[in-house]
Amino acid sequence: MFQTRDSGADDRSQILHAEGLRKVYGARTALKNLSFSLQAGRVVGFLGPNGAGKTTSIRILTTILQPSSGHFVVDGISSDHPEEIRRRIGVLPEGLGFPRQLTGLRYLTYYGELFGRATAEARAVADQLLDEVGLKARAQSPIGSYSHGMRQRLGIARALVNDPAVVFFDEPTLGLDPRGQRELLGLIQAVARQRHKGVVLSSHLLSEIEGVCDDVVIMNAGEVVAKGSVADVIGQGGHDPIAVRVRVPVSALDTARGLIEALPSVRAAVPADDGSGWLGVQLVPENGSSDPGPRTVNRILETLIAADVPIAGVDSGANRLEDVFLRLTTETIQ
Amino acid sequence: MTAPAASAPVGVQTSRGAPPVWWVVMKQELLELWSGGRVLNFLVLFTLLMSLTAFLLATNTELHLLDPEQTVVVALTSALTFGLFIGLAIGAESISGERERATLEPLLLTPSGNRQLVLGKFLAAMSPWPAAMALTLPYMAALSQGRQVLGEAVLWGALSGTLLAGAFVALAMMVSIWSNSSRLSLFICLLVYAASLIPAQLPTEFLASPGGVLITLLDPVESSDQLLSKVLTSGEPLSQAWPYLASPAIALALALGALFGYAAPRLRLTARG
Amino acid sequence: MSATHDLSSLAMGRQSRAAPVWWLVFRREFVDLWTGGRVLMLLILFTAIMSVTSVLRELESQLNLIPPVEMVFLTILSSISFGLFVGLVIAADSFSGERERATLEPLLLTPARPRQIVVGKFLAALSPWPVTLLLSVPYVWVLGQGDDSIGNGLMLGALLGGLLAIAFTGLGMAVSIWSTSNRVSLFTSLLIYLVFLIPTQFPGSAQKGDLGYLVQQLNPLQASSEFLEKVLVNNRTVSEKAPYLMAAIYAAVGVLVLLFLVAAPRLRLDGEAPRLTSPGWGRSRSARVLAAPVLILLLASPQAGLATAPAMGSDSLQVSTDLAYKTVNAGDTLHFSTVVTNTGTRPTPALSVAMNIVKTGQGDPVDPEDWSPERTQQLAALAPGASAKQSWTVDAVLEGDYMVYLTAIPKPSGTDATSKPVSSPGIHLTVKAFTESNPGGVLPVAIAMPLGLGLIALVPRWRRRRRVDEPAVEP
Repeated sequence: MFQTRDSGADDRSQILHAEGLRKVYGARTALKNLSFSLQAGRVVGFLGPNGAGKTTSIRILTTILQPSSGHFVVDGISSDHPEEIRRRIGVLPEGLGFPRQLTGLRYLTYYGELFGRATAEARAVADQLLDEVGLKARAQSPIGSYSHGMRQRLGIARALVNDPAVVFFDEPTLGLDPRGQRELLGLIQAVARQRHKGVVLSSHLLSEIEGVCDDVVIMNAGEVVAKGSVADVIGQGGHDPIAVRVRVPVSALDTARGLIEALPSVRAAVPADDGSGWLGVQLVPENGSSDPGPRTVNRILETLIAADVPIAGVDSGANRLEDVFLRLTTETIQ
Repeated sequence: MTAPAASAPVGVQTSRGAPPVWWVVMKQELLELWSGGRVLNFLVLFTLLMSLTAFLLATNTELHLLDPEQTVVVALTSALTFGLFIGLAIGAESISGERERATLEPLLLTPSGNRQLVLGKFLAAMSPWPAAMALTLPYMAALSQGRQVLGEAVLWGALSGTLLAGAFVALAMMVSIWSNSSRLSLFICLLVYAASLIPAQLPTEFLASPGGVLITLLDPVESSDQLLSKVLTSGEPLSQAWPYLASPAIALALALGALFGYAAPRLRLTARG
Repeated sequence: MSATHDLSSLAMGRQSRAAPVWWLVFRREFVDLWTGGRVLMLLILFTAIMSVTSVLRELESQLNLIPPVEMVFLTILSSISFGLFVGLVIAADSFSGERERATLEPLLLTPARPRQIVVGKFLAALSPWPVTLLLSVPYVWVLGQGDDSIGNGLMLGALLGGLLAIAFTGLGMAVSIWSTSNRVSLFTSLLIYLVFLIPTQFPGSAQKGDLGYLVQQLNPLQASSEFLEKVLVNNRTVSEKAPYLMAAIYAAVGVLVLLFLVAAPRLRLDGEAPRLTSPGWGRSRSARVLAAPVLILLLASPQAGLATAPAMGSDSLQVSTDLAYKTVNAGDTLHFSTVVTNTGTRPTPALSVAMNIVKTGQGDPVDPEDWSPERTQQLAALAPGASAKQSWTVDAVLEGDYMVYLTAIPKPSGTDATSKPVSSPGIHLTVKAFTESNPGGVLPVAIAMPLGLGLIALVPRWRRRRRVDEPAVEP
């Protein structure tokens, strides 16, 4: 019978806390000052362009790399005890390789044994995990025959084999088709919600972060440029948020802009810099909110239709985080 | 796809029935090496080379160019030479290969110390040597032509071969720990291996001089060859030939010390990490 | 604001003439190899090995004096052997390495024919060879002590080495084309190299005889070594030793045919060898036949010609033998004796009696060391009418037809004098090619072991194939 240790943490206790983490390679500072906290049952997203320091952060937090300074605590265990920390974390690294000839079941059993389970237990846990990630039917197939999506699910299973307190996912949906991405993200969310784990999800896909994460840490060039809940970070944008976007032919851009800005609830209509014809509509806040109601969107559309302006697309503010991200990372570069 | 079940307990402590990590790793590595076919392929090549060698030697014996004792010693040293190569190749790939295949990181993420990991891989990498030695027996039996040298040859061959195999596998693994690519680590190991074969090219007269003896003792491969030659062909007692046994033994001790005492604790995700 | 671009200039039909693909590939590979540091590292290694072997050779020369011309030969041979290794390693990585680095696919996706790609890479892989030759020159010069043979040796070395470099580089590249991984490619190439190298390193040069010569000529390394030695050291002519040179030429041509006509058109992304060939690609006949001197078993009872041959002599010396002819089997030992008689009126000076064995037909001359433990005997001065008897032993090592004769050499009186050697009648020695196809009973073992283990090694493969590549379909 394997023994487990109850962390004794309640749902909102801090499961991971990092303070002042820094990593320097010679003259280059890969990570400048990472501090954040994560609570059990929540998902924090590490967001940033390539080279922002996401993977470095994860490798430090998973004890693969030593920080140049700073410390962190996982489930009450200090970073001075890396072996103990590794007992309490699970990781799906980016670009993970798998031994082609092993079966999925044998692979998970092996890792269960490495984490200290007796062989029979390890096998039972492997069976259960394969079922949970939807690979039961292929448990006895060699991993070489798995699709990329299946391998990522196997990787998630492996990250859970030691029943960790915190699970790290580094770019888990890279290379997956949209359906595969959605399924994988669903799994990741379930890990947090239903298993009450803390989850760190690193990605450069904003849609992933916004749909799945409770909290977000935006990084750029090794530095944290924003952090907090998704809503807070969006609010940190500092500018009036774009409430809705409308796309019109470039030739009709000026006309459409004039029409929209004439509406009373509209503060401004800002064309996108890339000349794509998108107009970002900023609303006058009502009752403290800039969220467009459906009527506002209708009025905008009706105005354009009445003026015979072709409407090529409508996007109701789903890219707000994208705006913040682009703004913050561009500012930092400048 | 079912949702993962909620579970309150967190983390896994080592259960009482759980085998040690080095055993788990060794078992897995053995499975991959042997059932994957890699070692068997090496051993097939080994037997091809041994067949070639044995046939040539037997012909020379028939032509009275070599006597059976010499023939057995040459066959044994050939087996050592080829057999070492297998262990070297496997050891050189043991860590750097995992790096290349991106399968090292999950191993480093387990709570076991790196030493356990390295120990399991080391023992697995040693496994082809006894198989190679066993495969050499039929050749030596055929070449010895019923002479009594066979039993002693097996004993001394197994002993010195095991010492050498251990030393070279440990060396190869150390190189692998510090290489990001298998090709580089294999290359370096081949260099060291080739260097160890150089003293055999030295003229016999020089090898008999004090300088030559020193070089021989510093090279465990040449020492082993000399040991086999002296004990099996010249009939020297161990009391006289013992320095040539001590050399590979010391080489093994040093290599193991360096591997487990210095290299293993410094095993990182990247060689320059 | 959108900008329209005039794309017409990019249309395929109006491209200016591009350089040939093989040149583009060669240029890129060449730059990669040399600026990436790989070749330089190999060359540093090469010079390190040359330095070590040169020191060892010099050491050996101090103990057993090696003539400069032989030093030149040995150094050039080392240079060729190690230089081959450099090209082999680079070639073995050429395609399997690209596969592993996932850079082969974009190359195959160009409209270029695979053969063109192979040509470019092949030429780039050959590029270190002239540099290794150049790096050998100082070693040859120093060890050869400025001997006259250096120029000739370097020229022959360049010729042979070039042919061998083509052969081994091409071989390594063909293996690389068909290897699923870099590791497999490197090992296979190294193994093939070893298989060619091993017979040249073996103790006992007894693998001769007609088939033995054939085997030697089939191994380009061995044949080239023989050619170089005979022409450079033993002053044979190139035409006389042409068959050995042809071995290197055939090897180079054969490999080029294999590489460009067979392997290159079959260059694939996944590197599986074509199933048409038997498992274990490339039945290099040399590799299989090399070390197996298949000799014919003959039961011929040796007829000893015991008639005392008539003495032959000059003015004052006579050398007679007690044997005129004999037929023996290879491996037999022959004993005979000679008598040197002073038939003159004055005492002879001290005498040396030297045994010579010459092959009467085609083939390699005899290496006396293998045939007799003692080939020279010294005699004190003989008084008029006195005689001295010498006993000789000859091990009949090689099959063939030989003449054994003894020469009595009077010691010259001083540095300004000479003497006239006197020869005995020849002893006609016929050595039968005693062959056992199963020497020492080792043949069954030699065949059964690799065969049996090879069958066992097929089992994991068969099991893997049986677990049919299931389609990677999401369940």
